[in-house]
Amino acid sequence: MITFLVLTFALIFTYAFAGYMFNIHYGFTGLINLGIAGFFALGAYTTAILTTPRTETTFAGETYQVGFGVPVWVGIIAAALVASLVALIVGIIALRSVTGEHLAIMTLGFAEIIRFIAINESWLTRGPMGIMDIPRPFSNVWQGIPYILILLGVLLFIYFISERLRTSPLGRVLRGIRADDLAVESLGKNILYFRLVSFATGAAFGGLAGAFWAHFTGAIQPQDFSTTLTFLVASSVIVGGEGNNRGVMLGTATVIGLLYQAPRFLPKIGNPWTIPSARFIVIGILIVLILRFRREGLMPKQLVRIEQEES
Amino acid sequence: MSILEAKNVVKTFGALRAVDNFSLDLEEGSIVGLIGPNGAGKTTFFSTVMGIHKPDQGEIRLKGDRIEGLRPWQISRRGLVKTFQIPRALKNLTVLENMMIPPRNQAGENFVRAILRGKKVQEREKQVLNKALSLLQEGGLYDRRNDDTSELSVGQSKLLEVTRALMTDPDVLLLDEPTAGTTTEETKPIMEYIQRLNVEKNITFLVVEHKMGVIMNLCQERIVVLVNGQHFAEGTAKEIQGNEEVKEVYLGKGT
Repeated sequence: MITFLVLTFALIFTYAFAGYMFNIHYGFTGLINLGIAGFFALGAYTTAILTTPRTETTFAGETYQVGFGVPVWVGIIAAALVASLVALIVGIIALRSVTGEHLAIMTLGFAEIIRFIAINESWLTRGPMGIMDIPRPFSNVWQGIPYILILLGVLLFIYFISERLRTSPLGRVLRGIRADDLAVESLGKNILYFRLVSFATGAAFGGLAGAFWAHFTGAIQPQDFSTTLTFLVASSVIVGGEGNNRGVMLGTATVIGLLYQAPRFLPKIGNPWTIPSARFIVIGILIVLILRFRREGLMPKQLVRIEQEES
Repeated sequence: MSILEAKNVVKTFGALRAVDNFSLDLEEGSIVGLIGPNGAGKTTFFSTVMGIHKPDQGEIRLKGDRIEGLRPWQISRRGLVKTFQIPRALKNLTVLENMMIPPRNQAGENFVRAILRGKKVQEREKQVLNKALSLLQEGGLYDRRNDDTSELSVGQSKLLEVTRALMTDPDVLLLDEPTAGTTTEETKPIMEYIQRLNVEKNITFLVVEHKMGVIMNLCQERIVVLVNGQHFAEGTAKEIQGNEEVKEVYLGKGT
C-alpha cells in the first residue's frame, strides 16, 4: 500500500511539474504545446545520461559507452537547462510563423521526433532498451518517502515561481497575448520575444518533471514518453482550470490520483485490461463535460488586482 | 509639417485592390476624417499603416522615417497607434492591467527580475501605475479600474481602447470607428475626449467613422473620401456635405 501511495504521489507531483509548463504555455500565453512528452523525455534522458554510472552495453552487435556518473543535482539542473534551450530553438523556428492549432501539430511532431531519437540513437540512449541503473536517491530510506517530500518541496517552489510570474509585469504581457496578441503587438510589445520567454521558461519545468521522474523510477524507455503522457498532463490542467496555478494541482490530483491511479482498487470486471483502458474513456468524458459546462475548469482564472494606495 | 505621409499605397488581396494607389498627408496637430462606403478600404489602409498588412507598393513615412514593412510593435514605439473597430480590450485582465501593458522599459518584464521583484521593478511599476491611474481619471474610466474588461459597456470599451493607446505616448492615433455601437449619451464624451487630447497633448488624429454627425463635427477642417480604395474627394466638412458626387456614392443616384 505504501509503495502504491509513493508511486501515486510521485506521478501526481512530477505530472504537476509538467502541468505548470503547460499552464505557462497555454494557460498564460495561449500557446498550445502538445509536445509535453517531448520536454519530459528531454529532461529524463538528460539526467539519465549524465548521472548513470558509465557502463558498457552491447546492442545490435555494437558496443556503446553510456553514462557519465555526475551527481544527481547536476543532472537535474542540466535537465531543466537542456529542455529550456531546446524549447528556445524549437520556438525560434516555430513561433515566428506558427501559433494556435498549427503550433499544437508542430509540437506534437516535436515530441515524436524526440521519442524517435531516443529509440534510434542507441549510442546515446541505448535505444529501445532504455537506460537502467539511474541513481534513485533515498529509494531505500523509509520506503522512498523522503524523495516524495523533496518532490513536494519542488512542487511548492514551482508553484511559487509560477504565481510570481503570473502577477508580474511579464505575466501581464503574457496573459495579454493570450487574450489578444494583435492588440498587445499594436501597443508596442514584441510578442515573438515574449512567446519565446514563455516557451523557454515553461519548458524548464517540463525538463524538471522528466528528471525527477527518471530519478524516481531508476529506469526509462522511449515508450514511457508517448502521447499518452501529453494527454494526461494537458487534461489535468484543463480540468483544473488553465491559467490558475492552484487549479494545476487540483486538476492533476483529480485526473492522475482519482481517475488514473485509484481505479486499481475497483473490483475486477471483464479481462484484466478492462478497467485500465476504461480510465481513458472516463478522463475523456470528464474533459468533454468540463469543456461543455465549466469551460474555465474547476478553478477559473483569477483577476490580478494591482495594489493601489488609498488616495 | 506633415507627421504622417502615405504615398501611392497599394494593398491587394488576391485580385482585389483594397487600397489602390492612395496617398494621404497628415498635418501635425490636425484631426482628419476618412470616410467612404463599406468596403472602400478604410480599415485596410489603417492596418497597412499600422504594419498589420505589408503594402504591395508605396511609401509610408512617420515623422519623416519610412515605416512600411516594420512590425506593428515597432511602429507603435515610433509613435503611431491604431485602435480597433471592434474593441480589443484584453479579457481576464482588469482595466488597470490593460493600461499597464504598453509602457516601455518595464524592468518587471525580465523573467529573473519579475520573480525577484527588486526595487527597480517596484519603482517602475509605481510609475506605470500612477500614469495609468491619471489617464484613467482623465478618460473617465477611473471607477472601473479594478473590473474585468468583459464587464464594460461598448462605450467604455471604446474609451478604454483610446485611453490605453495613450499609455504609449503616441504622436498619431488612427481611430477606427471610435463611436460605433455606442449609445447617443456615450458618443458625445468620446468626441470631446478626442478634441481635448488633440489640444492638450497635441496628438494628431485620423478618424474613420460612419456617424456623419460625429465626423462633420470632429473633422471640420479636412475630410478625405475613399471609394474603391482610391482617393475620391477631399475638403472641409462643409464642402464634403455639399458635394453631390459624395452623396451619390453614399446613397446611390437619386431618381
